[in-house]
Amino acid sequence: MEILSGILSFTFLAQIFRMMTPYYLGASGANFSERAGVINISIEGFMNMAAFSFAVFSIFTGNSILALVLCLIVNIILSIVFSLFTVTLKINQIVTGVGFNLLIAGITKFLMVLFFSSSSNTPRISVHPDMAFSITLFAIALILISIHLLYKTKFGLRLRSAGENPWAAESLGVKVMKYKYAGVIISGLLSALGGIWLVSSQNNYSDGMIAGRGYIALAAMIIGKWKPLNIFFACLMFAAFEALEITLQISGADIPTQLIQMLPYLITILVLIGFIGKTKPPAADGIPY
Amino acid sequence: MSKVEFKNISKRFGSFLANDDISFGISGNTVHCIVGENGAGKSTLMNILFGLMKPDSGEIIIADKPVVFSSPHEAITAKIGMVHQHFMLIDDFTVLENVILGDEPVKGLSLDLKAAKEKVDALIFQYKLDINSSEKVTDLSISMQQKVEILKLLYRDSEILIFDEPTAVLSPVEVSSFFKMITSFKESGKTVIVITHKLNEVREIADKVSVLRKGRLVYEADNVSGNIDINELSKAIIGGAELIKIRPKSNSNSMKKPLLRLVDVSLVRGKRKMLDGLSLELFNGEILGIAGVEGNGQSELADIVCGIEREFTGTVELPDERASIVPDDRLKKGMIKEFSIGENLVLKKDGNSLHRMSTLRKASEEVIAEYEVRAPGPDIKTGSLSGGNQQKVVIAREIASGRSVMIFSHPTRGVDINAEMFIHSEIVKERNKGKAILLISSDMEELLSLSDRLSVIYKGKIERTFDSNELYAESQMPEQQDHRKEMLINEIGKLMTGVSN
Repeated sequence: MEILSGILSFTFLAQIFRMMTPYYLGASGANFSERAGVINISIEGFMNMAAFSFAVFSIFTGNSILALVLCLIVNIILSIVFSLFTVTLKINQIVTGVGFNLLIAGITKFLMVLFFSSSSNTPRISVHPDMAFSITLFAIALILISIHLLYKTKFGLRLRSAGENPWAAESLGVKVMKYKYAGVIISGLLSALGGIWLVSSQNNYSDGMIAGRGYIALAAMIIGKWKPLNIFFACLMFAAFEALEITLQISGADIPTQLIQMLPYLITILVLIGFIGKTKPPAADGIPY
Repeated sequence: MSKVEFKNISKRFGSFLANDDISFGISGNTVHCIVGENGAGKSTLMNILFGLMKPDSGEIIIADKPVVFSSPHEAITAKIGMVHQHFMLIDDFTVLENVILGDEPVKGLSLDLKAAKEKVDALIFQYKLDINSSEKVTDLSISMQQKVEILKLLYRDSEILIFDEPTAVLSPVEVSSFFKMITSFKESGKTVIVITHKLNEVREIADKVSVLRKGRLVYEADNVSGNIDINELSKAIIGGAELIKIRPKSNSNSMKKPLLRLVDVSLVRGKRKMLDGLSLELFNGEILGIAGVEGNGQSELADIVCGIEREFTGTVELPDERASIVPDDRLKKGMIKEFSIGENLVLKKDGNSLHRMSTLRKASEEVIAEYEVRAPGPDIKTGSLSGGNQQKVVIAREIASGRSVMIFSHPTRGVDINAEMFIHSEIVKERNKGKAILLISSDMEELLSLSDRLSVIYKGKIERTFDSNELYAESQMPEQQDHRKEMLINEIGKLMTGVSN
């Protein structure tokens, strides 16, 4: 009974929307990249890099707004390097993505020890009190922004053409490379916000704090069929399971925590089995141009 | 004065001279056909004009000014447009999005979709294109998609329109409406260049024709109200070699037995009924032609007979486990273009025997010799051969399979006239050996010159079957023959489009 009232409360609903934030930022970012034809599986790594650099900049500057700006710049550079490999040098996108994820996991750990003599946690960080909430609001607004950008602007039309048929697009004078870079950079910026949100809401950076959210964001993008609103609902679903997990843990219900922690991942697999036949990625997604 | 002037254009690929000092002019406000075999240099020349390639020497002069295009986009900006054989469309986009891409009207930060739609719909209306600009391209038929390509050119006010084998994908009915469209472009002051293999089309639409052979301009002729000499033209194309006309003969006083029998076969794909109680019989030693507008069940029929499709109702009787097939889309269904000729030849062989390189090479060499495949060597990737030579490899494999029922689906689509004649004579040879041949085609000439009997398919059903004495009358004067043929084509056309009901 206690559990049920916990679930039905307003707090629980608010919790879901909060939890949705990193998923939706990551998934929207991945969507912009894939719509331009670049599969970006290093959303996880991008988030990790952003979370870490935001924490470091916050600690060293003492100004979380400035840290946010610096962190975004770091992720823009990271995205440009990723594009250089995948778009310009046409290296396999999956391999590059895996490489980035592993490399970033290693670098952050290494720098943690270097800066804070601890490989697991940073000291507590004081973040601007409205930071996390603002990012959540932005994530919700991002639904409309994405829809408008993708479907109602010249930029969006050309970005999508780069992901569907770059040869046709180029023959009409569309600078395909430019849009592929743009797609990846947007994915870098949005996933950076996702990482910043995690640090802001937990007031520190800890190793492994992204905990697969970047991958679940990719699953949400696929379940959402590469459409902004559908992706949002997919993210809400994952967020709801995460919130449920926390509620159940707090309420001390007699369910093994490991089982509850498995839920989002299990659901990801089940939903993908159910949906995968019916989803269709951009036609030239993952194909180097 | 010429609208477009080619001046001493040469282009070399390695040791191969694709264009050899080509010079000719194309007058404004005309329809100019460029014909020639595959590999004669037509596409190279057009690719140079459209900015996809640069000539090694020579220049292109448009409206008295020499031009050099380094990309298609520059050509488009100079009001030259090209409809490629393989369309350059984005399937997931609407017609409107496809048309405006690269040249989008903008209002503030957003696309001005309303203005775009007005402009595009006005063009659709003006040229009677009869398509809905809000539909997604993926939902459109091939002929509709071609119209989208044309719309892209019109939207950019192209004055010179290049079409690469535009009718290869169209049914007879669509061809005639396409020709009307071409005429209306000419009437509105545009210059139309058409690359084609089909000489009757040249006669119908061209004002002037240029023939290329082995990279050289070998023949030019004006065509005033269809008076062009087709024999001269075909001689110029194939270079003096004699044209072999295949006369179908029913060599069939021997015992006839049906090898393939379909009774009341139906097939539903998704929600569409693709075959609707289709029945037919195919005898040994005959060619049964299947005429029909594409999408009326031909490819499903082929899939069932060759054993790919099993989810049908009704009965199919076959002497072997399955029929051999020369499929309509050789690159997708007939061969693997990254494989060598030899590898493609053993692709369908049953059993687990290992293939040694030497046997593969030997098989390849045999086919190259026997089928006159023009290939630089036995180990070459099949994909690097021209369309006609690829098709010969597929045909060689299917003939070698020795099955008694063979399906030829659009066997000469996109191949040159030499390869076409060769393929036709191979089909007749197999028929004469006693094989039962199902010939699916949208080329009426091909169907009429090869078929012993001809069935018309419409909405998944055989509408009518013409037997051989309906198709061919002996001892008639040539004019009577022509008249008869015209009547026949007329009638078949009606059956194909369901007008006769």
